[in-house]
Amino acid sequence: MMLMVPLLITAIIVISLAILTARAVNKTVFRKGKFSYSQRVCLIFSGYVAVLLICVVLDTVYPVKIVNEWKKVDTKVLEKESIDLYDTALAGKIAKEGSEFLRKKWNFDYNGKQLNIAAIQDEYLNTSVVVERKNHNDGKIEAAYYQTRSSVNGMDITEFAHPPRLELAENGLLLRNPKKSKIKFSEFTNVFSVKQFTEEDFFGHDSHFSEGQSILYLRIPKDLELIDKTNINLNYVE
Amino acid sequence: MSLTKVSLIDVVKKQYIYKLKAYSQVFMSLIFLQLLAVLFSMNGVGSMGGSTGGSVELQVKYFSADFVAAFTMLWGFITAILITTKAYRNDDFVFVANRISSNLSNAVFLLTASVVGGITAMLSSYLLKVIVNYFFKSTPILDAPIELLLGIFSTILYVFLFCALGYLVGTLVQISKAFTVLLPAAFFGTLILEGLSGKAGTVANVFDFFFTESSLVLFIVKIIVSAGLLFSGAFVLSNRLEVRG
Repeated sequence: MMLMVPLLITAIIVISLAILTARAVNKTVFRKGKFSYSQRVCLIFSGYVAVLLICVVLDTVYPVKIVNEWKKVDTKVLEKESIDLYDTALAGKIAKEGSEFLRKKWNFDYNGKQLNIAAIQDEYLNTSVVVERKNHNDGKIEAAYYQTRSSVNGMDITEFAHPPRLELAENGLLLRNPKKSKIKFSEFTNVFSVKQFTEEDFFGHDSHFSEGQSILYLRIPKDLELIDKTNINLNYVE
Repeated sequence: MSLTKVSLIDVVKKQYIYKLKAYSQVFMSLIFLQLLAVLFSMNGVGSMGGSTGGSVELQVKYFSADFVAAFTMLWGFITAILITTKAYRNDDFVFVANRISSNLSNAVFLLTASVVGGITAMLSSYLLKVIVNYFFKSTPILDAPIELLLGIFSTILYVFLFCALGYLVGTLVQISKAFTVLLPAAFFGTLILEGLSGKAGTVANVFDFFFTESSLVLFIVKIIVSAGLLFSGAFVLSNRLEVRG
């Protein structure tokens, strides 16, 4: 019901405007003689059509080209990539098979027996953490961040996705969400009378956004015990 | 009584050509409404924003000629009502005319108006594109190819349907002024009642009948049959109007 109010108001404004213009024009028409007026209308209308045609030409000659640098991707391929990467990580083969998705690496020296691992409180962490125990105790924690490609409407926007922040503090390993990048863009869509035939959303406009699988892969010394402080949900390599 | 016999087609043709000139002011209101719609669309016809909890936050603004097409349909509706008014109807009798020739020439005029409206409405999406592209360069633009021909064709059909509806409404109003109150009351009343009850009723069904048809052939058939019925209704009803001496 509430949605109808603005629609009704717009409809009323448009109808009144149209009637008023038609009436106002009408009055002058019949006083001044129709045919000289119709010629003027013809001229103005031709001008209007000419402007529209110029716009068609301009758009054809200089098409919108601002997001040319965004590569086209197949979202189905991306979905498979994400699932595969997670499976590879759990199988402990990510260093070999997922190397193309490696975004960042960290190395920390740590000789303690226990290590707290925590995310900043009240932050929802969008990264899966997978832990692999080494065969030996070398006092080194190797962290690697992998992320598959992200896309919006079939355009690759991976470059906008930042890695999370990782710090080794006194009380443990601290995980922070990545710095957010904002992507603003405009999109031209077809008119609704076309969309009903192209199986697009008739009323709304939708963009398909898929963020790639992000995995923080930790390789820790054999006997190091990880203590999950903030329900990060640690997954261990099988 | 006339000594020369004039064929119906000749009369319709003459009336049609006359009407193109005499009613030319409706095209001025078309330009005005379309430009107004382009102005309204410059801020986008929709937007989406959101974050997935990850590192990317999206803000998308959509542009399309939706408003222009909708305004053009309204224009068709109003134009059709307008040409059924007395001032316009009397113009017909500059020529030797009867109700049939008058109605037929009106229908052909409205078809022409729909074609003009449909074409300009779709072309105006390029005007909008150029304005947004050249004057509001603040954000990158994703460009979907405009289905121009399909857009023009379907918009013409929609505008023509609204013209037919407007013609019937206009004729009803000419028969009795009571319809000026009755028709809007019936329409908005049904709309509000349906809105309150939350069930899809007549208005929603009629809307779905045309606007959710995904087969082009069926859509064409639906529009032509409906417009034909609406015009026939108007033709029959107009015979009840007083005869002009």
